[in-house]
Amino acid sequence: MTAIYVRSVTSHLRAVALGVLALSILFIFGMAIYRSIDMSILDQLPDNLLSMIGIGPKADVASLAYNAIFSTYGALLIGGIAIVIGASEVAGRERDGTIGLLLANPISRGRLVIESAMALFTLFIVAGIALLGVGLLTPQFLDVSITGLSIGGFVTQLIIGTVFYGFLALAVSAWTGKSQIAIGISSSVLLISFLAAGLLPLISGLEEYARLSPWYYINAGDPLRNGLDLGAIVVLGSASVFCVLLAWVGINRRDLRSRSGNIQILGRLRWNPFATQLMGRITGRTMVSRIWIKTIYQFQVLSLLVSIFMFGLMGLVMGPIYADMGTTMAQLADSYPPEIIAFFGGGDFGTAEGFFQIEIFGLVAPIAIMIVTIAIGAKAIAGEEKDKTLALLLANPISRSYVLTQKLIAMLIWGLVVAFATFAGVALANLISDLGMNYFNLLATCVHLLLLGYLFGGVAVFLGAAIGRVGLAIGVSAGAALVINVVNGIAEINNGWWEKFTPFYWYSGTDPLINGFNVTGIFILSVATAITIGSSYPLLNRRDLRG
Amino acid sequence: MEPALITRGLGKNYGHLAALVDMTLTVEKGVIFGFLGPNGAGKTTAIRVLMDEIRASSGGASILGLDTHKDSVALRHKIGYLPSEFTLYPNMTGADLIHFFANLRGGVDTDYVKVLVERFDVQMTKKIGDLSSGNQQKIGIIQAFMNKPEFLILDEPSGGLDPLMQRELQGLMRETADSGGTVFLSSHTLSEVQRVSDRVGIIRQGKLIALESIGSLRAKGIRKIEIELAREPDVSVFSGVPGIRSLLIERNRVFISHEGKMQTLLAAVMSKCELRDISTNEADLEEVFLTYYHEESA
Repeated sequence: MTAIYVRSVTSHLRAVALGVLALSILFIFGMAIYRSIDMSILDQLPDNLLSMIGIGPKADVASLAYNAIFSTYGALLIGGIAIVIGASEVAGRERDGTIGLLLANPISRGRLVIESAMALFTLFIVAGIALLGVGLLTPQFLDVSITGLSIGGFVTQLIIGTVFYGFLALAVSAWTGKSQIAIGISSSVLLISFLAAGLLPLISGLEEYARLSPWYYINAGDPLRNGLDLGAIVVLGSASVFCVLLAWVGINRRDLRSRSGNIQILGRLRWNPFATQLMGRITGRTMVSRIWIKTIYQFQVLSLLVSIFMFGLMGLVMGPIYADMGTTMAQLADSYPPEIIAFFGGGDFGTAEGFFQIEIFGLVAPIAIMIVTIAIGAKAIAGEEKDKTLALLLANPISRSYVLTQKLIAMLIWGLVVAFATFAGVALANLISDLGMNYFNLLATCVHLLLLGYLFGGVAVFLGAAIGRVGLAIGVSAGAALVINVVNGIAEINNGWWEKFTPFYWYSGTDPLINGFNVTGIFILSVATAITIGSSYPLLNRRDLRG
Repeated sequence: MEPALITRGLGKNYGHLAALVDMTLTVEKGVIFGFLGPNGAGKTTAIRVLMDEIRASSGGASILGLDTHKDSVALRHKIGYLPSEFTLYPNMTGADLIHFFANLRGGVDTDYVKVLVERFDVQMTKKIGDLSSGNQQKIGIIQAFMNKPEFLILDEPSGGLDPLMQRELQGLMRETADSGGTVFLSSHTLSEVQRVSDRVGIIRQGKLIALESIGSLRAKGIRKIEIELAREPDVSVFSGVPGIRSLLIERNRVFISHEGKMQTLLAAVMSKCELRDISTNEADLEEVFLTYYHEESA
């Protein structure tokens, strides 16, 4: 191993450490709260329901904490971090223009990929050891029994499972040289496989297809109770090795890029002679007429992908799935204790509203809209500083505030598009599958969703404007969203007094899908967003810009 | 006539590190002012303060009568700026970028842009990400000049340009100054500054150590001289010759760092030795600084 390996490990160590820290805090907090809940309610639930919601049969305080915090939030978080690292290893170096100098040394492209993969693996082994430590020590301190649970096997399978997504991102990044595409494709696979592993086992005739989802193997064989599942490890290990080989082949067969830009769908069309004249008009002069329009173009790929995902997969596909599972769901729903309903975001599997609340609006929709608003918000000012384009931009007679406002307009518009795509997808599903949901309430839910997206996008704007660092702005705002969401989930089961202080309560705690608009919620989310964004202006105007 | 640029005790600290110290400077209108210093001397820091990208820790500055901080937006209507390390949006074509900045700026004469494009011979329809660094630099130069600014700030503008294009740029700077505009040219290349500037400010370790007209800088005549003699000379040949700052004798070859008129040096050598060959080179910037330090401490 050489300098590339060491450099990769050290440059990503902070992101991994922050992820592990956030997850550890959640775990400790979660276990402490679960300890205070009467767990007998879980005994009333059928085993297949418990398996479906990721808790497993014979649930107790410890397994609830491990499964809910590590297997769901933890796996999504670690998988997400692995994807960002995997995408940045090859394509990120091309984007930054550093790959040329790196490969000027006597190092083959293949070795670059192998060392990057080894670095990724090392980082997550370290993360796994840290999580294992937290997973073993916390029950000791909180006096929770973990007899019969295999924490080591559980954490190992979790890490091997999630790090696979990082290798996938590495492969896409090596083949395309575009980090944005690598992140887009790998996160889509992550989210789709997460949903497939949860939903397919519930649809009769499709149960076996769940095995096609990589996510399925994270919990295959119930490693928490039965220890490491060797079959799952073999599947995940082979898939990871395959991805690394794919990356090795990919980087060796193409021209490397130097300081490459983002892909631009409309821009691509513009190079087509047939479309040149028309697209030239649309993308050329229009694109450069205002900063906000240019920013709209800049984020078109990410935002359109997320919007199509929300419209197509989340909306259109979920309708038929729910219609198919209706009877099973209704039967299971009868046995729900209210505490469990609360834990899953107030949803009730027995109704279409409950199903959509849990499957779409509970976790996936907030993640989707925040991917867009946080990305645009964090990069509003800090992205231009990072790319060294701000000096030229501000050489024009425009103020820093003007630039920020223009970027905000783009964030507001793309957030609106994602929220509308979600609304349109679910509304169409409602219409096609005749689910009987109230359109006005659906609209209300999407408005609440939009405001939640704006709020965390606003946090990213604030951090980007105040400190000028994209990574920190994205990390802290996404991390804050994650922690606050979990705190809110825990507060709901525990009836914690603090739940009304979390934005997630005002997003979904009042069940807008059932009760429609909540004026207080809308007011609180709007005011919080306005304060966050408003306070970024003076901070931006006061500080030195990074050059 | 009001000066184009006035700085009063301008300073910038990063924690305990003083990147710019008490810079007081006046630049008259209609001149090319060379701002000379080695890498890391504080040139870019000074320029970034003038452009209001970073804020002065002490002192202040005004350009064309406008405060560089309080009136920065109004001021930028009158300024053209080329940063030292910049990136252009890689997905845009050159034409897109110029159009984008022209939209932000307003009042840009498109015919003049065409003239600049022709002068610098740059492909405007290609994506910037696919252009060479020299061509990207040309687009940067065009955007700096396109609004016919009254005050130009150019930070190391010749980077990546071939000699022909460097001359084109120098011509453009001269035309700007001749038509009443002012050019603030930052560079670490002595020859570039000597060739084009009217006045020179020399900065080192954040301090402005000298302000000279280009004539007096030239008169100092700091250069490196290599002399080849028929046989190895005695060191006494050079003792007492004014202007010698350093001397190295390697058999029949002599390496001298010299300041001032060469006449006395040549007379001294030729009176005692047989001269076979002589070559002179421009002095390193460091030697020029040593000269000024020498004067400062004297």
